[in-house]
Amino acid sequence: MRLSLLLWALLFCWTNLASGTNRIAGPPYEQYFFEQNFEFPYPSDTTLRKPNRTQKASSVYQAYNSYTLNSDSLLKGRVSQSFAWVDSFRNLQNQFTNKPLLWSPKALIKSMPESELTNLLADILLIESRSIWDTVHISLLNPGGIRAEFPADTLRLLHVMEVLPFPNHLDKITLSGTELQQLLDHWAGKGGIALSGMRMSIIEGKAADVWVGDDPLQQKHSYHVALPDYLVDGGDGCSFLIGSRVQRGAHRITDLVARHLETMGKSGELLKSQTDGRIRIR
Amino acid sequence: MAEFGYDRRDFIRALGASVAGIGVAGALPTYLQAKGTTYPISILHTNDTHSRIDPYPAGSALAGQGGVAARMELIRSIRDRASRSILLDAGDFFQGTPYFNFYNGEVEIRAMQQLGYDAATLGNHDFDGGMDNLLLQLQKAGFPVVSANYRFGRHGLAQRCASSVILRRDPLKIGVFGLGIKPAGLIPPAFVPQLSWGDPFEAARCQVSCLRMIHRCHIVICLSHLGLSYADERPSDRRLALEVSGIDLIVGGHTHSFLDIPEVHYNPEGRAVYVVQAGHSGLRLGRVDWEIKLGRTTEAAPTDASLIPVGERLNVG
Repeated sequence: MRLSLLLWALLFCWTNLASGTNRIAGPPYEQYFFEQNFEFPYPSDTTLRKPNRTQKASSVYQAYNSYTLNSDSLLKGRVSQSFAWVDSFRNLQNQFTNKPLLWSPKALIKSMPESELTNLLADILLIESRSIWDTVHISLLNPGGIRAEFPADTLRLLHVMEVLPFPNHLDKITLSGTELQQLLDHWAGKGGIALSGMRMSIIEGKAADVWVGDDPLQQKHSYHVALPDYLVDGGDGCSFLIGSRVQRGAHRITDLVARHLETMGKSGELLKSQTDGRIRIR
Repeated sequence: MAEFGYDRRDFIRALGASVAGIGVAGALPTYLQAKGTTYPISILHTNDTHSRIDPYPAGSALAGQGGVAARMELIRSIRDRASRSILLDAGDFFQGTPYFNFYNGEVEIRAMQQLGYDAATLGNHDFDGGMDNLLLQLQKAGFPVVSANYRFGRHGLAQRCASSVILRRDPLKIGVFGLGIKPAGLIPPAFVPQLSWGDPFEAARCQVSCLRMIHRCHIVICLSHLGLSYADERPSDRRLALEVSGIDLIVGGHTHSFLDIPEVHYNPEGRAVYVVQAGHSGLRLGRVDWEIKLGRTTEAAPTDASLIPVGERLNVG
């Protein structure tokens, strides 16, 4: 009995000491991270479909166990000190997300039925989708997928990831005029959608007076629409899209937008967007 | 709150009615009611915190607001003063900032653990990394996760999550159960192969009878991620309050509603049900103070409720 107690006590001390030394004398997380050489989901040129989430999480978990308090966070006072461990996570991700893209002179905020932010994102997606597929008539982005705003500041990858946090990919589907009308009616009923390459009016919750490019919508014409795979798979009430002819894309929407903004920034452009009456409510 | 047809007067009127005692207790003469001791408890709640670990960044319209450090400070100051308190979250703690994209929810869960949450339910975005990831992250924390109408089949989440939990704050017993929103159309089916959804009202009736009759909880709280209300007939917090008896407080989520004043509804038994929701992104910390009188009959009534702003408010408009 006494012997077993002694053994337990020894084991307890030993584990405490072992974990203690590990935490203090272990390698700093940066070293650990670069030794392991695992990839973060952003930013990358070839973001393919299957990110191995479990592997990443466990690697970061090990990095967490070897964090050390830095002196800056200790100076911030009692409360900040209690969340000092977040610093190691924040610093690591800031190496990626603080990447500046371009200067935005004006804050862009999402609103219905159209706004500068929704128009900008849809325009970017239309340009990017046309570089992926030959013919794309329209691009759509569900407003529920736009979760934040662009500040009047240097736009960084961080902002794009906060505006478009979901790991959705851009797909292209082919719809007949009637199916497109159904899709637009659905979103007209919800008050609006981010769209580009067309304009329409909302009359009593239905899409009317639809123009695609320079021509009015024709029932028998087929249209190529670029939109998130979330909608193609029936998300946000779009279950009628399941089973339509789809070409899957390999790029995340967040990546496409970030890359486009970065290219704009490199060529010295400022962020500009305007509401041009592409959706009117009557 | 004009848009919903509720204002402070409704709440105060309901407070008066419930303090006087509705139903059986109200029918008793005063000398029979007088026995018993009153115990106060503060119920703190958040919902849809959406990975907002740091305050909103500079340049944003909400710059400086929110953040777990400020929330911790607020919770700590309330806990220092209140004799009893519980802290609840109504789901959607994942997805919204790069913290989730990089660390798959580890930071959020660890922060929640440190803030000392007593119970949380699951929202649709908590499945954004898949069920395996949710389980992996939840295993890093010890707080109970409740959901009465989600079934996880043979997945490990079935062991991690419970239908309800009973929180003991001596001498009070507080029953907390969770309700989740219908995943169809919200969560990609590939993320949640083993998840099945049951009718929330049926589940609520079952949980209420269990918590009230078997466990004799003094108050029953529903952590709901159903959303406040919809134009169509989808299950919502308002419908839940009107159709299911036996719930005292519904802590809502999903619709990101800032309910500065709790909504008061009357259930089929005629008792008041309070519906609260604290906006989103940890911008507010909800607080409802209850007084529970234990005597011949248990009487529970809120004495005050508010949404407390979290963090600096740089541009008060």
